[in-house]
Amino acid sequence: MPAQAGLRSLRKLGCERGHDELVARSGRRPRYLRSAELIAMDLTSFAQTAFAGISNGALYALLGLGFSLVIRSTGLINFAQGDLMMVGAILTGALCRFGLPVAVSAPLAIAATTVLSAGFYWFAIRPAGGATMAQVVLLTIGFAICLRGVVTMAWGSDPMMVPSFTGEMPLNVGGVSILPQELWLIGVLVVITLATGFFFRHTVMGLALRAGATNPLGASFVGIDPRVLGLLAFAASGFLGAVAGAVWSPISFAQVDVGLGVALKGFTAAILGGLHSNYGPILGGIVLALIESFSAGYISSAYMDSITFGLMLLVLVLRPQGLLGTALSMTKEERPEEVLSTTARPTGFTNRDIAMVAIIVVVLTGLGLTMNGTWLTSGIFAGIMAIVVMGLVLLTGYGGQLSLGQGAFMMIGAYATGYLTVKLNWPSYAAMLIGVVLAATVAFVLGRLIFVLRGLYLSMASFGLLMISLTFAREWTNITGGPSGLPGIRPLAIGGFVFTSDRANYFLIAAVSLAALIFCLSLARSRLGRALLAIRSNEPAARACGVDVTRHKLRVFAVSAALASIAGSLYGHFLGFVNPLPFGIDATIAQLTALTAGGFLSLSGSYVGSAIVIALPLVITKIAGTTSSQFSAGVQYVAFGLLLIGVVHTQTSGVFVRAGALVRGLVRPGAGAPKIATGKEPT
Amino acid sequence: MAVRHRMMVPILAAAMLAAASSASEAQSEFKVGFVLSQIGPLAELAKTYLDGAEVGVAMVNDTGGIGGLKVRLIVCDAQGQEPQAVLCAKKLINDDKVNMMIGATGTPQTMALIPTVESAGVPLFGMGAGRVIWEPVKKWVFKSFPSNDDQIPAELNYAKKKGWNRVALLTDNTSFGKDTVEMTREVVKKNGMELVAEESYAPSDTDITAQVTHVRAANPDVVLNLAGTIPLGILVAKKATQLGMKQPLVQGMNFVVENYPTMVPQAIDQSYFAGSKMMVDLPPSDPLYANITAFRKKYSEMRGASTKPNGNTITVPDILLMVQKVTQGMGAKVLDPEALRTAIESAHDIPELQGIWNLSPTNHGNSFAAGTVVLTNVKGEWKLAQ
Repeated sequence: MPAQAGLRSLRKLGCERGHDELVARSGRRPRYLRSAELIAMDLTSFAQTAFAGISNGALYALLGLGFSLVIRSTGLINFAQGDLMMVGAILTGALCRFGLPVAVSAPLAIAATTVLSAGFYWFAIRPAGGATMAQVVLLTIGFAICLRGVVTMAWGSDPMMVPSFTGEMPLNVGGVSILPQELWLIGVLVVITLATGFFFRHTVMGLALRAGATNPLGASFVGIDPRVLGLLAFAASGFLGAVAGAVWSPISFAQVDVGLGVALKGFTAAILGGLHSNYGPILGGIVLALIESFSAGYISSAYMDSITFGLMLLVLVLRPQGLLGTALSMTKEERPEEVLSTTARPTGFTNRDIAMVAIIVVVLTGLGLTMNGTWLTSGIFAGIMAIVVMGLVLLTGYGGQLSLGQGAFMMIGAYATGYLTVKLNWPSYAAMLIGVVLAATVAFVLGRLIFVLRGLYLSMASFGLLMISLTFAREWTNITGGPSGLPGIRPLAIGGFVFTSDRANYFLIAAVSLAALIFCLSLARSRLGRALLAIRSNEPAARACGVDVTRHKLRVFAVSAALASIAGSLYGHFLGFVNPLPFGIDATIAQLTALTAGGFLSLSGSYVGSAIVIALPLVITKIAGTTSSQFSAGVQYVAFGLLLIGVVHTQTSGVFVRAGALVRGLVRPGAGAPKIATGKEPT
Repeated sequence: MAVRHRMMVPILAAAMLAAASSASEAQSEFKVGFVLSQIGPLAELAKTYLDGAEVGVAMVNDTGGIGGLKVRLIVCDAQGQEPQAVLCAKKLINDDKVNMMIGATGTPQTMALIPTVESAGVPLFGMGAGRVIWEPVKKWVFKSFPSNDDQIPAELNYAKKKGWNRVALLTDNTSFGKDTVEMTREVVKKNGMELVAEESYAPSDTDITAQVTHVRAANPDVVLNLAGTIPLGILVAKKATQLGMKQPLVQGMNFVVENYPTMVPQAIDQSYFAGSKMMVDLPPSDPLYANITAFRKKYSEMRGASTKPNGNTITVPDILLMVQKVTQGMGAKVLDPEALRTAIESAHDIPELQGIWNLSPTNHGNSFAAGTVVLTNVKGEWKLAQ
């Protein structure tokens, strides 16, 4: 190996030409060149990369800690975590711009954000006591969107510079360049880690929080009020978010869009380290950032997300309690789901089902014949979304499993259609079928690995799947066309008829969605539907009665994936173009919003929920008149967020269920009212 | 029957008279649909485009409009989402009956619009940097502004002139970034230079130390910091100076905005930018001199002397002024989409604001080389790089 040693010393001297000469003289092709270069990455670069990992890890750790505290005390994923960080950063920047020194503005911003978050819990989450987990998650999404809207209205979307606490001059430690602000970030994390340890071990509040997290019912018996725990957790979440924002933003910048992306990393960190352990999220954050830093530095930054989220899936499968979690924490009781009404479930279609389908046929046809222009196009998008949401009704409403990754299955359908019809010239139906089979298989395999567990694990795993799918869509350019997308998908054709016009597409999608509705209804009214509801209200009891829990959950997950894939294929055919962006976490949020608005157990409500989500921006635009300023964009955000919060609040199971109950109440006086109270009659 | 027909005439005439007011109103405008995303990562860019567009419309209307018709801009917000961009295109074409379209923000959204405008037959100036928009040629779609095929040659030719032959590239993993990588490889090869490092990052990354460290280890003569969005470009510039890199940092045109130099003051002395001639004082002999001077005058009349236009401000005005030139004397025939497209395709040696327009039925991607230069920023002032 003299050649390699020589190479290394030449690299050290920074002599690149000599490096080439050496390769030429040693007479060997640079087959080993890459590995030689890897070795040649000297110690300083290694140390620099490691240090960057640790300081960025501190950011992930602070957010991961916020996620973990909220999950432990309330069982919720707080989707506003990232936006609380953003608010902390923006407020710090804005107060500095106002003329205050950063030593004053940072604490002010942190205090304000903490109060904001606690206030949100007290006035928005606490009163929605009977809501299910998925619904409360929706509340936090609404809150996040409102925060983004208000910030956009007040400060626009330009990046804002935040001054460093103690100067910008980098320190040089053995060749490693370190910003003072990075030391602040790491220092803050150390202090918070110590404080967290003390809090959980030695304070009444901390012990109460742990007790409540381990056994909420037992804790409430000994006088621990879960509402106080929730308030505390949300205050801590706001505090940690704002601290992260205020301390980290001087290293980069504060901007309205920065929250969600960072929060996803923090969430991953918490899963990696262990959601239910005290120090897990901190370790998880550092590990995650180190992996990112080294994979970007030594492997490729292109597949960085795949590596990190693949690792997350691996941890979920092999060590679901996280790196630091103890097996004990797995026995924690889930947040109790609402008690379902105990009336016997019908087998097969009821008269009401048939009437409902007939009404939907009439309404869809009527709309299709009368709508024009934008409304007709919106109808198409709403129909496509409704198909996805029907799958979610089965999975989340009936199965009690919250999926954050239906976008991945839509992508499978859309790209299968795009690639097979455009590049290989396959017929549309064959491509669609391949998409369905592929999506169902992926769901089945993922589910097989995950469904031994309960609660939030499917959410996390499906989220990981979504992130990995997005990377592949971006990087696997031969198949997917990369980030620029895959153009040139022909409209769907059946026999000799080509669906080119909007109206033809509308009726096509209406027909497919009706078929999906009838299929889902028949599933919901079958043994599977009843078994799922049994599992959802009391899993151990259902298991004891001989219900094969895993098999049923798997089947419903595969069905929801297949439906999403069909929706993706139809989307591709209609738009004529597929790219990765529309399937990201924003799409997940839109689908969950539609699910909530339509009603968790209402398959027919999927239409209403999707229509609301698609039409809302149009309606707001119409009301607000022109949208020619950032201010009105902000207004739009706020309106959407408030609507989301409002929908969850005014009813616990969606407008459609409520309207149905009202109609039933009119037809049979007295029949509707108690059902609103228990709230959960499947329609 | 004959009698009936005869009676129909006055009735029809009356009806037409009644409708005349509204009909002539519809005919007296040349409607330009503008799809842009006012929320999302490109919102700040959209703001600048819109600001310039309003000035451009006023300029064109001052000088007789397009085909003698007043130009009206109809804006639709795509909210950073592809389906929403398609909805906008359909709304503008079907409901507002626009005669020409500009949009959307970024390559993916623009690609999403294309099937709609192609089937409706409305000329679209695509507001994305990706070459897929105009290559291969699509019947109704044109390039709007200087892109990678204008700025990267400008930057690398300048670097070659300076003797900076070892090039490193840092860009993002979006469609813009992919295009940047391809174009850089092409020009580096053509110029006989060497690409010693090529690194990418995700737009949501919060730390890019590993990538910058890699670039530093490759010891390049010049670093191309070509980010699609300004925040990530700031992150790269900050990190490069923190890691003690003294090499010239070359930024893309999208960074030539008023507040960029104030955001990374530590890197500004080693920063170069591809930029529009709009940013510097031109000699009167320059082919763009007259137009740019006229635009500056109108802009300061409308917006006051304190706000400064930049390379993105002039995009829409440039397109409108060019369309005004090529449709001169057509009158109301500009309302015929085929005639309008043919007129645009006939653009030949028309100097406007962003460069000189030369289009043909086989070339819809104008070269803006004539308007693209390399800039530096000295004490907040943009100067031609020496």
